[in-house]
Amino acid sequence: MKKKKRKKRNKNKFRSWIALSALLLLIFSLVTVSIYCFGLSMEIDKRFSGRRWSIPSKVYSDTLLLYPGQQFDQSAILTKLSRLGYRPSSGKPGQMGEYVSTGNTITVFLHNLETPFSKRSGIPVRMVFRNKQIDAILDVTSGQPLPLLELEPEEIMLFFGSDRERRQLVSIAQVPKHVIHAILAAEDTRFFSHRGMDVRGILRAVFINVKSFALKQGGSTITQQLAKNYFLTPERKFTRKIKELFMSITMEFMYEKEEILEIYLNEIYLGQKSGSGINGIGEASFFYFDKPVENLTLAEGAAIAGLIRAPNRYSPYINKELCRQRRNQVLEAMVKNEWLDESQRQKLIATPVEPAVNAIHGSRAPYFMDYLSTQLQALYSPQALESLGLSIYTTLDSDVQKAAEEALEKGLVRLEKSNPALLKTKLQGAVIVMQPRTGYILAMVGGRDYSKSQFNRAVQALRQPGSAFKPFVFTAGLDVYTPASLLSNIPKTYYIDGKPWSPKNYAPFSREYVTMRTALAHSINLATVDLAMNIGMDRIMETAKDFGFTSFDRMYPSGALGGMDVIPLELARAYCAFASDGMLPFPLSMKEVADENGELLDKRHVKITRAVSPEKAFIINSMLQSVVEQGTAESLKFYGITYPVCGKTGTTNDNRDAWFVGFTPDILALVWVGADDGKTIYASGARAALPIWADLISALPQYVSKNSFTKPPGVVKRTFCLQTGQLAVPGKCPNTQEEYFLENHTPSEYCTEHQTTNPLKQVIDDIKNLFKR
Amino acid sequence: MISKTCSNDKSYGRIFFVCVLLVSLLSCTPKIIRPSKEPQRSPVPIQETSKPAAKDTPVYKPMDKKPMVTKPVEKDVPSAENPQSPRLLASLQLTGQARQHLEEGDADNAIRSLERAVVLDPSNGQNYYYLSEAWLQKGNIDQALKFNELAEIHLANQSRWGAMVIEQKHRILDQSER
Repeated sequence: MKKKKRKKRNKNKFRSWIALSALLLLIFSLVTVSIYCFGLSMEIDKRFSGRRWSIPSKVYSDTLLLYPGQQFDQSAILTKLSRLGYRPSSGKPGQMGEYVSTGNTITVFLHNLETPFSKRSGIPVRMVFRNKQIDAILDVTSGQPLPLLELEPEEIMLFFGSDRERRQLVSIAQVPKHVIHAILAAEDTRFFSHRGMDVRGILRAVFINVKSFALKQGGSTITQQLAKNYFLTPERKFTRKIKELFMSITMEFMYEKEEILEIYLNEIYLGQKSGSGINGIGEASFFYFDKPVENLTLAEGAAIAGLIRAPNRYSPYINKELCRQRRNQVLEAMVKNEWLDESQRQKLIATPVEPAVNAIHGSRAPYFMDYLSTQLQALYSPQALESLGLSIYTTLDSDVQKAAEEALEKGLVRLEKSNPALLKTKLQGAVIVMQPRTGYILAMVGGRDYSKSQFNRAVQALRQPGSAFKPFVFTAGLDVYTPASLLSNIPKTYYIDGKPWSPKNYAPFSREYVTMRTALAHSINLATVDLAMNIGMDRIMETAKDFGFTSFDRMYPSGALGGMDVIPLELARAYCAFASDGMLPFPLSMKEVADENGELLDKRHVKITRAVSPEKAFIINSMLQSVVEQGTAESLKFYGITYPVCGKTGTTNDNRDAWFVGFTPDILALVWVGADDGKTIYASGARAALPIWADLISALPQYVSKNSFTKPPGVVKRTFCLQTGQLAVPGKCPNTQEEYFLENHTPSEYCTEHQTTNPLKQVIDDIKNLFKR
Repeated sequence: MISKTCSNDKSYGRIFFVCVLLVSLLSCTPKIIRPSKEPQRSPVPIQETSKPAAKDTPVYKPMDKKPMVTKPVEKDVPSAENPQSPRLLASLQLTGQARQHLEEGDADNAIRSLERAVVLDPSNGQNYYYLSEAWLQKGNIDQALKFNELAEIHLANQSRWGAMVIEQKHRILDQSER
C-alpha cells in the first residue's frame, strides 16, 4: 500500500515535473522567440527607419538649345529625340514622349523640363526643316512661333554602389489601384487578409505542385518576399525559411499593410538594364513604358506585375509574346478576384505589349565621367553619390561627345591603314572640346577604348606640345616684336650651360629672315628660338603661368619649341584665352547638383581670369588664322572648312606626338595622337591630328557660327615696308603690306630705306621707282 | 675762246652726269636687309655664336635674302555687324530672360541664362554687361570687373552702351571701396 502510494506520488511528481518542464520550455521558447523577434524587429526598424534604399545619383548632359535658323539635320534631331527616350507614334502625338516625323516636319510632344535653372512644361511643338537647318519652331497648341526651345538633358550615367541598382521611388498613393490589383493578383491575392503568412496559400501551392509534379507555384506572401529580398541571402535552407517566416510576422506586427506594400513596390526586382538592376515599380514603368507609374494603363500594369516572377524571362524586350501570355494570366487572376470585369479582360487580352523604344544606356563618355567623378569627390563622398539620389547636371554635350569619339576612331584607323607599321604601335589619341568663353567641357575622349585602357590621356597624360606651344612664346614676344618684325632663320648654335644646342627646322625653309607672322604660320623653329632667346626664358615662363600651365615651372630654351611636358586639358584651356579676348576660363565639367527633390545643392558658374590683353589675343588669333590659311594647317580647306578658323599644329621630335588645336569664337577642340610608350607615329600634327579635328568640326555645323573675331579698339592696322619692317612711306616703299599692330606698339619710324633726309637720294629713289613702275 | 668755255661747261655736265649715274647705280645694288629692331639680348647665361662652330652642325644651303612675309587674312564679318543672324536673335532671347531674372534679384538664374547667351553669340557685348551686373549683385567685384572689360570691348562701337559700360565700371569700383 505504502509502495503503491509512493509509486502514485512518484508518478504525480513525474507528471508535474513534465508539465513544469513543458511550461518552462514553452516560456523559454516564447521568450526566445520574443527575443529573436525583438532582435529582428530592431534589424527591420534599423533598415526601414533610416534611408530605405540607396538611390544612385544620376549624371545628366547639358540641355540642348534649338532655334530657327540653326544648322541642324532633321535626322540628327530624330536621333537626339530617341536618345531622350521619345518614341514614334502612329498618329498625332497624344501624350508626352511621342513624336511623329513626316516629310520635312517633326511634331513632338515634349517631356517636362526640370533642372534647377530651367523649367518648362511638356508641350507639343512642331519643327520645320529646310536645307539641313531648322526653319521654324511652333507651339502646336497656340500656333505661335518659338524663338528658342530647350530640350531636356540626357541621362548619361548613374553612380552605383556595389549593388548596382536603379530605382525611382514612388509612394503608394501614386500607384493606380488597377496596378496594385494586378500585382496582388499576380503575387499575393490575400495580402490584405493574412498576417504575413498565408496558410491557405501555402496549402494551395503544395496541392498544385503535387498535382502537377512540379514547382509551379510558391506560397510566399508579399511580406515574405520582402523579408527574403531585403534581409536574407538567396540560399535555399530550411533555417532561412524559418527566419523568413518570423521576419514577415514581425514585420506585419510593426507596420501597416499599406506601408509594407509601398516598400515592396519600391523594392521588387523587375529587370536588367545594361549591367544594372531595375528595382521598384517607379523605375520599371519608365524603363518598360517610358512614363511615370501614375500613367500606367491596366494592361501595362498587368504586364509589369507579370514580370515579378521572372523579370528577364518575361521581359517585353526579350520576348513580347511570352510577356503577353504572362500578362493575360495576371488579367485572368484579376477577374477571379473580382478586380476586373470579364468583358474588360476580353478587350485587353488581344492587345500586344508595346514597350518603349529605349536608348541603349551604358557607359557613355566614360573618360568624361571619370574626370567628373574626380571633380565631384571634392564635394561628395562616394557613399553619398551612390545612395543619395542626387541629380548632377554637367556641361557635356552628347552630340559633341559622339562626334569626338567617332572622329578619333576614324582618324586613327585611317592613319593605321596609311602606314601598316603603325599597327605594331599601340596608337592612341585624345580629344577635348571646350567652349572657349565659358570653359565648359563639351566632350572629352581620353583614349581609344575605355574598356581596354582607363588611363585618361586628356587629363592624366604628360606630353610634349612641340610647336603647339609656340603661340605662347609669341605672345610673350609681343611687347618687343610686332607681327611685321623680322626674325632670323639663320642656323645658329647656342651654348646652354656650356653645351651646344643647334635647333633645326622641321622642314627646310630657305629664307634668312621671316616676319613674325610667317614664323608662326609656317611654324619655323629657328625664328622662334631667335625670338625666344631675345626676349628671355623668364618672360616666356611668366606668360605660361598667366595661361594656367602648372605642369612645369622652369623654362629652358628647348621649351620655346615645346620641349616640356604639358597636360592636354591645360593646353586646350590655355588656347581658350586666345578665343575669348584674353580671358582664361576655369575648365568646367559640373554645372549643378540637385538633391532627390530637385533642390539645388551646388552650382558652378563660369570663372575667368585675365591671361593676356584682348589686343594681344587678337593679334595672335590673326596669326593663327594665317596658320590655317597659308601655313602648316593649310590642308584644312581640303576638308571643306573655309570659314575663319584659328589653329596650330604641333609635332614633337621623331614624331612622338601629333597635335592640332583649332578654334572659332564659338568652339575649341584639341586633338592629340601618339603612343603611350612614346614610340613614333610617323606622322606630323597636320597629317595625324588635323584630319580628326576637321571630321569632328564638320559633324557639328550647329556649333559653328562662321563668324570671325571682333577687333578690340587697341588694335590698329598699318601699312609697313616689306623690306625693312618699318612704316611704309606712301608712294615710296615699293613693296608694302597691311598688318595689325598694338596701338601702343606700332613701328615708330617711317621706312628709312625708301625715304631719306638726303634730297639727292630722294630724287634718285623717285627716279628708281619711276623705272620700276 | 667761246668754244673752250663751252667745252669746259660740257665736261662739267659730263662729270655731273657720271656722278649721278654712279650714285644711282650704287643705290641700285641690293642691300643687306636688317631685322626691324634688334631687341635687347636676354641676360640669361646663354652664349651664342652666329657661326656654326660645332662639328656636327649640318651645312645649310645658301638662303634667299628676301624676307618671307605672310599677309593677314580677313574673312567674314563679326556677328555683331550682322543683326539678322539667327544665333544672335536666339541669344537675345536669353539676354531678355536674364534681364528679367536680374530685375527679380535672381542673379544666379540670370548668370545661367547669360552664360548660354554668350555661347550662342560671343560677340554680343550686352551679355557681358549683364553678367557684370549679375556678379556685382552677388558682390563678386573681381568677376564683375572682368565681364565689364569684355563689355567694353564688344560695345565699343555703340555710344549709348559705351556710356553705360563706363558708368557700370564706376559703380563696381565704388562698391569695391565700400
